[in-house]
Amino acid sequence: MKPVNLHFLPISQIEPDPNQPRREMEAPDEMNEARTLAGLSESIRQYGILQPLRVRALDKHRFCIISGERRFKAALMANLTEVPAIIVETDQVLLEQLTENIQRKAMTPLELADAIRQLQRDGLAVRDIAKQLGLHPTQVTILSQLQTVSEEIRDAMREGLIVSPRAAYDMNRLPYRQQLRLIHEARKNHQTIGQKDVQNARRDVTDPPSPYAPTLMAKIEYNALMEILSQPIESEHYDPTADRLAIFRELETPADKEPVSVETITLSVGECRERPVNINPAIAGISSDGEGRHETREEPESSHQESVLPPHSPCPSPPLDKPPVLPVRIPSFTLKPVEFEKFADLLGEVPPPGLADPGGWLVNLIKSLARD
Amino acid sequence: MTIKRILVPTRIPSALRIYLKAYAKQHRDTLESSCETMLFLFLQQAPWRQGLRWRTPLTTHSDEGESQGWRQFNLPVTVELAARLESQANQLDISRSSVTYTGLFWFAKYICPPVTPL
Repeated sequence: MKPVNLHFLPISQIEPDPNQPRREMEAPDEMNEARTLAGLSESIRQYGILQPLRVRALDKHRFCIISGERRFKAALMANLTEVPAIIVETDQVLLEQLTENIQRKAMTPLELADAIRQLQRDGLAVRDIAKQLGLHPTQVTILSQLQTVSEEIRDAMREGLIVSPRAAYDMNRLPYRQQLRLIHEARKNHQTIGQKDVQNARRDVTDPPSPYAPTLMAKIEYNALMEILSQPIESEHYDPTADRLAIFRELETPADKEPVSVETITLSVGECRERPVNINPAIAGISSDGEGRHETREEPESSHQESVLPPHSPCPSPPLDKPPVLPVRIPSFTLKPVEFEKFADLLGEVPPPGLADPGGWLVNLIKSLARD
Repeated sequence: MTIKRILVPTRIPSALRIYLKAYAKQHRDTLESSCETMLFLFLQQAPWRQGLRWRTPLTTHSDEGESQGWRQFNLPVTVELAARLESQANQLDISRSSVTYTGLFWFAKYICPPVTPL
């Protein structure tokens, strides 16, 4: 065992390390008074410094702190003239400082991120850093990536709105507006942002899966399933078209959304001045209200079905042997009355007065122009 | 609040189970929840009234103990849905597992058939 090089050094000869990874000496989460700087100073005034500082010699009369900067500052506050210190010789100052601080789990993720980045700049690999600090390599990678997070996320982390480095890392990959929205909501509701919140936000950003989306399967599994599904059953005369239409129409128009189907739009252009026009070309194509509001009535029945849903007849008919033909889906959109009129004007048409179904009229106009 | 669920047992082909899992994943849903939706739609649409025939699930193993490519599939569903399945089975004098299997089969074959990359 090496002999301990303990000295009582004049406090004036000791100086803090400018590269010390811990920057916040008063951690906001430390509620216990004994852990705050003032509390520590009071403790030192009463009992003295129980654990010596670790310093390295800069020259004969100057020493730089490796660990114990809080104790040093508290000693200054307590007006001590000399402090116990162990003089060590090391070239791994940052690693030692980090090891000491991580063991106490008091460093903030951002401080850790900066320190890890510094170690990486010094040439240490992620695996080596992880081994030295007793962290998982993934944690080290995520922490080092925190350097790249936006300033808003850094602020939120400093405020304590984001505690998990993983949540911050994932959040950085969200669109900027989404990041701001999450932070704003957390601030407003006095809540922290967790990984689950970020995952949910990401789910909101990506397009919801279409109910029409067929299930994608590997070839071998697809063939096995098709073999089972195609087994003929005697005297089955079931036509699924009506069921499919009913199910998908229901999925297309959830109750909590604005109505999008042509049937539900009964506003005249005049009334539309107050309310926006909802248009869903796909739904317009399949709707049938008996008033001739959509042009698919003019198309042959077979092509009408194919344009909306793949035809499925009961086995042993061939369609299931090949992938169904899928319709081209156009997402629904909403036009303001002014936009509607401008759009119609651009297409060179004037909406007829007293138009009952502006959405359907516009879709049919686009379709007829496309066909021409 | 937790919704009480009970297991509805049936058997389904392994390929159909793979389809159900793929469907649930694609629609960002759980296997149980998506199957529940399928069965709910099945009972709602009542396709057997339009001529759909009931399917009878096979056993998982043959009498000789060989695997037939079918798997036990115990689906946790709400008490209400389980009761509706049971009631439907009693009305038509068929087994509940047959109703359940036909419902899943109907969805896979007629409502949302799978595709495979070319």
